[in-house]
Amino acid sequence: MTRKKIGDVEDFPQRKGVPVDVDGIAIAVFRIDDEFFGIQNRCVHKNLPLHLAGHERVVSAELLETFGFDSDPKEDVRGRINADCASINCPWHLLEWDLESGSNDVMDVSIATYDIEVQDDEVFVLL
Amino acid sequence: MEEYKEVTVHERARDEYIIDTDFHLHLPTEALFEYVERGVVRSKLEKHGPPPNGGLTHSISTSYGKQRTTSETHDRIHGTAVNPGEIKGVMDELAIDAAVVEPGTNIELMWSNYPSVSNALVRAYNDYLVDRVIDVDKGIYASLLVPEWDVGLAVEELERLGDEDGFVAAQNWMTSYKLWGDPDYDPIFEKLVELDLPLFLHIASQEEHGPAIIRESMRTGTEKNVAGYGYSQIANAINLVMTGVFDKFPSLNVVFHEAGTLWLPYVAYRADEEYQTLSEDVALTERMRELDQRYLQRLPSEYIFDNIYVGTQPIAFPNIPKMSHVEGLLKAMRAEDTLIYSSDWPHLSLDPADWVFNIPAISDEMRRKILSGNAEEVLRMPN
Repeated sequence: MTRKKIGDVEDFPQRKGVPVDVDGIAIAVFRIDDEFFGIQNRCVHKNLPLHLAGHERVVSAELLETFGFDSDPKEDVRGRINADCASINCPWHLLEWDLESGSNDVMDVSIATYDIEVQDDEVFVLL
Repeated sequence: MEEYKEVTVHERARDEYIIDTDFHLHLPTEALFEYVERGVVRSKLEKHGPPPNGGLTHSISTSYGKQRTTSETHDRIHGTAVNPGEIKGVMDELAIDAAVVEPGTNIELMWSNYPSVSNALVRAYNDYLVDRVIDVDKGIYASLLVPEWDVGLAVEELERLGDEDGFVAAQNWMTSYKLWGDPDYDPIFEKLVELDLPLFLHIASQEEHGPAIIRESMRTGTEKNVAGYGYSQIANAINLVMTGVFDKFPSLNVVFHEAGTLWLPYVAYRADEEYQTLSEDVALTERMRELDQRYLQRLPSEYIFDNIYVGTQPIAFPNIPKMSHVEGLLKAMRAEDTLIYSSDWPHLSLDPADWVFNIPAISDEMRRKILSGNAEEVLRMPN
């Protein structure tokens, strides 16, 4: 297993996807409080990138205020990061992806997830 | 760390010329009121808003199919763009070079009990497009709204605005109230042919999908979209063919929007089979009597593949990596000749053009035809 540095902690804002490319592998990194998650940056529904989850242009502050970060992830808010269950709603068509397992219950599939480590404020992906 | 790239579409999309034939304009209906002549109708609109529409609403999985009051409904889930600057911004994000603006679902006016009000809104919508939306220099075109419930007004709107450069098609919705092969629609077809405009027929949430008892047996949005919209599209397409619309108007093209693509081979080949043994009632249709024809001039499939096109959204191909089925589907539907790219922005079911680049069976020429070539043949694009 190798460790690849993908940035510093300050490069990863809270609850907002960041796309990284590590040796040709496209990963969307999400930071929820002190935890970091890495997931393949392609939703297999229509092969579109997931990293837009959490961005203001996708899920507005108004929506988050209305529905909250921690309400039922099945509420139809695209691109929301669901902190309680560590999942995201795809910013394109709402599919919910578990950030730890990479699974989606509706399609009964899993996409790749990646372990992310933080050491001395540096962020690494384990490959 | 690598520089953040605002990638939202396939990197090769920006190398292709892409025409999006279904880009929705979700104006607040109130924006149209100032384009309605002052009088009783305008007063009613300003006091009570547009008339209510009946029928099914979009089924939203967690809210009983009700439209929600926040801006986050499935109809506007990817945003709102109501003026040329905003529309161009979205086009640039999605690598769209030319967009044909179509009405949003809030402008669906079928089933209203107040046609005088609906008609006023149709005129206002078309005027609004000319005044505030169409911008040919930015690649922003539109479809002219022509109401199926009032053929006289439809022809009047075509005469009034059909020559405007920015209108590249005429727009209506599919209903089961009266299928589009009805001879009452011939004045619209005549005008379309004269103006060299194709007819866009878009699905609508107010469609009555077959008998009420069947509709009330439906339990899910998936059923409504697969069966309901599928029924409406198939019924309208085969009715156009079998009543001789394309014999009377051979240069007319009809583009079906948002009801899928995979029905094409079913209808084409099943219709050929049925027609060959059930050919003797064709002579009794009104149009065949008018043309004094006993049979159609061509087989049904020839009209399906020559006069009918489908917007690609929702593309609904099997998910990657099950692409082995896709090559056969593309051939069966004669994709190179029938598919016209559409995004359906800003609805939940948005299809960026990525899929066109992700399917090995789509050749360079097929891709060109899907993304712009077929649209350029069918639409009345300015030179």
